Amino acid sequence: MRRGLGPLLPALVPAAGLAAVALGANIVYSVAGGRLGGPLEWRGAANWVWLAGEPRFWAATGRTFLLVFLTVPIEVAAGLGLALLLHRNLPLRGAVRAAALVPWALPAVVVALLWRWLFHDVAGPAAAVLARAGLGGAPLATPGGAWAVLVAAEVWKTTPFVALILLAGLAAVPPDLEDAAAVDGARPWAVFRHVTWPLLAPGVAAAACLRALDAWRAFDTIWVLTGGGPASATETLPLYVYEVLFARLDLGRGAAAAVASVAGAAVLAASALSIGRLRRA
Amino acid sequence: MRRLILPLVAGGALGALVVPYTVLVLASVAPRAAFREPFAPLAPVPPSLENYRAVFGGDVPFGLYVRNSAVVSALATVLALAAALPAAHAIARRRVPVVPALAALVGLSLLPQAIVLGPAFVGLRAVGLVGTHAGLGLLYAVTSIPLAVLLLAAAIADVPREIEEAAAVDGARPAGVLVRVTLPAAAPGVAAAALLVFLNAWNEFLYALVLLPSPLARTATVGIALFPGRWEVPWGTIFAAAVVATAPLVALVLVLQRRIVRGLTGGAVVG
Repeated sequence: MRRGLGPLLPALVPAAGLAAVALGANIVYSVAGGRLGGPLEWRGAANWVWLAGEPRFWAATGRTFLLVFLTVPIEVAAGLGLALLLHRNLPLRGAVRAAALVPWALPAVVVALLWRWLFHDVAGPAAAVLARAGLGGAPLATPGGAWAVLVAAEVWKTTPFVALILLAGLAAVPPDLEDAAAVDGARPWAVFRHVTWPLLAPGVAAAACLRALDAWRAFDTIWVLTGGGPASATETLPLYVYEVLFARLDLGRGAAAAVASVAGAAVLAASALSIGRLRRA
Repeated sequence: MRRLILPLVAGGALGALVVPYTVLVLASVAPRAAFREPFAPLAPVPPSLENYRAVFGGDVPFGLYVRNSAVVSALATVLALAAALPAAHAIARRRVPVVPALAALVGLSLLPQAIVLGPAFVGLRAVGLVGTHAGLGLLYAVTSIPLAVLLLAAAIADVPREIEEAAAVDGARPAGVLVRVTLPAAAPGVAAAALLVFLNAWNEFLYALVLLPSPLARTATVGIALFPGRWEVPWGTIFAAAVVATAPLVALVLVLQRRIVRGLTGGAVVG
């Protein structure tokens, strides 16, 4: 058999090329970019100095971390629950497994519009239920309410994917091992804790890592659902970069913010990996 | 009591998964006036096609947006699958180091759109492709390559090696074997891969928003998000447009669900 990396090139060269060119171009723009559409001109560190002193950038960075830390644990816990449910022999199993693909297959834009209507202060059915329960009728108008609706929409859309990954992990756990533990008198929780979980944990870690990096770059749901509001209470880094690039038409500053957001993603990935390594050691 | 808990939980999960989309479909056939009451659109009796008529007969050329989405997504699907095929085959047959190749592809699939926006806008403008469906389709093709490789590799791994070896003994060249023997044998998995790459492009929003500034060039997702309302948000029209843009693909996903789950979760490649 021929061995060699040749067959990988038609796939890897464009994909890695786009990533490298995009990152390189942003670094160049960040030191030499002015208006979007205008000529490049040397700016030195000016865009970076501006970014470092921009409170709205730091607030957006903090909110991006907040979004990751609010959504990923819920998605992983709910995804694990759903996967364990689908792994058992239930009457509704086929239907639930098929239904799990629906939220995942919808465009984020459609999910966001649906949630925006459900929690709309005048016309939304979910908002009306909240109002009747005495919980206030305009959740999207308050920072806390907007965050709650945003997290709910993200969790609804992405949990099924986590469940499918973990379901594949569960299918790889040999049933004989679980049966043997059960025959030896282990209670269901003990079987899960000492047999299933150690085999499933790498899959859980991988799913959490994928979800964290995906939440870090989320744009569509937030932009359509809250527009970053109320005020800028839900403005995360991707929305901030979009705003600087295409509303303020500032290529240099937008590029600096974009590079910073990639650096943030790298920090997130590196810390996830090192947590994984510590746990294994 | 204990015996009831699991079916109840399963029923609850099923409800949580399907109720929101069902609500969307119901609200899409509610007459416009129903949206003044919060609960009226949930029970549209009798159903009305008012919103669907508004989608296709109003000021917004939504039929054109659907066509634009189809053109861009089809272009992206063909290009991404073609670029992915050699790598997918090599990974499925373990002719390359599988784990590093998969890790590189998964990493590239998480490329933040934020760093692509500026360079894509500037670069496509420089070559005259901003605002063209070819430019957007090309970008989607490149960003979909990792997904296409993973799904095609899962499809090919299910095809027995022996079929390829028999064709090779008969004197066929490796590329010919791949296209004429392996791909047809992997047809259901290839169909699932094509559907998901198509869906990925169809559902994309941010690149389309930025790279197609002309209102007539818009794709369906951008058209839905930017539906104009004169005095109020036209929820009914938006939901009817959303059903038009999602129902056929959701139906296809459900038809191919077993293949999709197998492809998405690595199936035979990792296991």
